[in-house]
Amino acid sequence: MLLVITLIVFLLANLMPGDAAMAMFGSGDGSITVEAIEQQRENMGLNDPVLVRYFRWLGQLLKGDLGVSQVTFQPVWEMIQLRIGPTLLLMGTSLILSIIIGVALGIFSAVKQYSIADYILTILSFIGRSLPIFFIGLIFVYFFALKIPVFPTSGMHSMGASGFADLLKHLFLPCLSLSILRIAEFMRYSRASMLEVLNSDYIWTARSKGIKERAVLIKHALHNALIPIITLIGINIPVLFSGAIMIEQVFQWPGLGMLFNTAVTQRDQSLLMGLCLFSAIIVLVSNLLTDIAYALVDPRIRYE
Amino acid sequence: MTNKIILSVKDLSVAFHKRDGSTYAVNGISYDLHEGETLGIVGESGCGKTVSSMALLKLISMPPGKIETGSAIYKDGKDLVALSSKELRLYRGREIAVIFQDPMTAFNQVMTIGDQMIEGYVEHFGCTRKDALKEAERLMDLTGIPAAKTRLKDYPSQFSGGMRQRAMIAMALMCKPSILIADEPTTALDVTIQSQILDLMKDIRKEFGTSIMWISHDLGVVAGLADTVNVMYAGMIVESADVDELYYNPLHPYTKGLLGSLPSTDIDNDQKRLKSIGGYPPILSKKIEKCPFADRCSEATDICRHGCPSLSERTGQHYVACFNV
Repeated sequence: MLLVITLIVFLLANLMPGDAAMAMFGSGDGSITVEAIEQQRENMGLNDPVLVRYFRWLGQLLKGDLGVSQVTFQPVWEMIQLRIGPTLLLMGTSLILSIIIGVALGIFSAVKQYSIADYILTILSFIGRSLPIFFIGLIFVYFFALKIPVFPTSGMHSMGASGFADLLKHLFLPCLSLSILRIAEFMRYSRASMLEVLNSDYIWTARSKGIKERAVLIKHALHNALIPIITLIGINIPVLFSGAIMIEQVFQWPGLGMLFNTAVTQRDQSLLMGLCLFSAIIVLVSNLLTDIAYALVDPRIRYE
Repeated sequence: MTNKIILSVKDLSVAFHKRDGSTYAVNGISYDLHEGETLGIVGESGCGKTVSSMALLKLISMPPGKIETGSAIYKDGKDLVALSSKELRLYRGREIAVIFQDPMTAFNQVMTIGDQMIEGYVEHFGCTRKDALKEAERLMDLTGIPAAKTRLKDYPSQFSGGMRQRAMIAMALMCKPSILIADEPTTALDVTIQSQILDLMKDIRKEFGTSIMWISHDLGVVAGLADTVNVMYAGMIVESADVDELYYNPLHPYTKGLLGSLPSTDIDNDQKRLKSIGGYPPILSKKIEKCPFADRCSEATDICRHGCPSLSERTGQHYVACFNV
């Protein structure tokens, strides 16, 4: 699986016009001769056939080496390690935030079906799902940077500051813009799931026993309603990752997403490959975790 | 069965008011349930037998469901219709317990049988989990579930259909209710298991002296179990009598039709085809103003099409709602 993914990405990256050698010298002022670029290509091995380069990369990978960046000459793995923290922080908080808020709102909306609150939430979630993520980001930047500068709109820390509160302040906007779509989605699905569960026979069985309505909702309905949500979380981890690429660019968040953008614009193929391999692993691992989580919450799967 | 009335239903009407129209599911039914009595409630699908019984504990979606004003359900001198949901909760499971139709869907699949059995008990008696589990084990044993202690830790998916229905019955018995509402508890089971469950219910009646409301469309099952039978049609009770009286001397044309549609076990019987009642039950989107059976009835006269007969006594304890009887 991983092999196929890396091969496809390698080939696609190869189709991009321009290469690292050109990006390095820039299109600039004409002082760089075609020969110099050609010489640089030869040095970097860019003139070899695509497949030869792919297998060279693969061979290195098998030795545990992701290679060095073709632009900065830093080891790719080191670059990734440096950026992993901020991205995990952003993705993690966003995921947790959207699960908590989205599921809570969805459940509330299902329990109060056809109430005014339900209608308002449904409309909001529709809007939330329809807005492109970079658009939300840009709107936030516009309002909070230009109109009412309450929250900082770029970077992870203010100059010289390093406190936790400062970090939270910087995290707020990117995290919120990354979460809005997720919140809307979690809300929609948990509302639907909860409604379905609330109409099941066993909910009436539970009520017939004379237990409190709160217990019916929490012990019986919620547990069952959350099972399909697990799939949604699994699907959302990769989606969140791709969302982070845009949001990190908009808010200058120093994470993997920004690194990804740099890699693409500079045609830094080895860095790009490293990042793709890394995100492919994230997707596969999150799928595996989803399956494991299923077995944990649903006894029917555990015993089969 | 004693003469003590433990549940008295007076003029119970239930309607479902939705945006696209109303459905008048139950239209003014009255009956008494005696201590230790097994009351069979029969009728075809959609005649209101389940809704009227679930409405006793308000176990219907409200809204759109609504118990209409004028309805009263007396239990121990209290009107259940007037109780708040918090007060009514004290009756649910404790005084009146329900055995549901389909044991496949009536259990929560992600909770152990034991946990589902004890939650009502713990709620009503405020005892510890351990004591409740002990009681659950005893009742599972009594309802014929082998290895009760270990099976309490199992999930519903690990039980067979018959075993689940036994567990459902054990669960309903947890709080020693005085009334059991059995909503077609054998319909979803195959015939062998059905007869085992029926035997179990007879044993339970003997042992606990519980009054049972047995909802069914299976006239054979009701004949073997019930003391009295209410025949329902279009949300009304059209005939009510002692079980033998009803089966041997049916008065209402609908009851006659129902009994006539049963296959006979008599080999010499030259009846080739089963009789059926022509037509369809009325759509209950309007309040009933004429006899709901008039359109399907061979004995209907003008008066049937202009007024609705009410349930009245003919011979001793035999009630019929028909102008022509």
